[in-house]
Amino acid sequence: MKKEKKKVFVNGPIDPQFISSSIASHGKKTDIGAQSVFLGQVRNDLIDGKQVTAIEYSAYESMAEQQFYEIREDAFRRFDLTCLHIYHSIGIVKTGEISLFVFVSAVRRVQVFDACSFIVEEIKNKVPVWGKEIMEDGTYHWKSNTINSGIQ
Amino acid sequence: MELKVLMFGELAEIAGSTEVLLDNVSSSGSALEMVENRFPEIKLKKYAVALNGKLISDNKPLSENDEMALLPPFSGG
Repeated sequence: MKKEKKKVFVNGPIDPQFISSSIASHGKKTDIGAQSVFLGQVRNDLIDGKQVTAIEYSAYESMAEQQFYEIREDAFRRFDLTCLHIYHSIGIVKTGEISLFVFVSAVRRVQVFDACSFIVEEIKNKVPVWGKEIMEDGTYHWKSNTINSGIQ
Repeated sequence: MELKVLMFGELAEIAGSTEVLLDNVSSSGSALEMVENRFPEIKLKKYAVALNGKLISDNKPLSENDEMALLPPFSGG
């Protein structure tokens, strides 16, 4: 189980090819019996009659890296995991492209379902990342997540 | 003491910069008051305060080289 801080931020969208090669590379770990993947994809929301065409992500990177590290440590404490990988985009990600990739592996399925859901919720609530939704006409709107427990 | 306050998201837009420099500041509370006085629109916004990368909810004394940040509601993922 590796505990060092891993690089989480990826410039631009997360390439599906990268996701498939991450999955393929876990074939070597034959003690794994279950893997769960969460992919966050940029949605073409309609806001005040305007279509979202992309999200530009920015972050308080030093704090965000620390939060990702703590979420990862917490997930290893709570769940019996073999592997855990988190990647989040920074910069512009167009609708239909992937901005969040969470990949959890364990011996059995219950752990990965629960861990994956826990990790995604923790990321949404605790990591200082902001999404600016860019509209078709070039105007923009600051995205807000459904739940924000960290900020009053 | 001089303090650098990092601004993010919509708050950086209001401030017109990702950093605000304050002079003669001794606590996080007085720093916030100075920022809000300089950019009154910020008073209308929801935000959290981080000191050296940790969220704080009450007034803290400041030391040399502290880094304060104003964080609008997170919207990652």
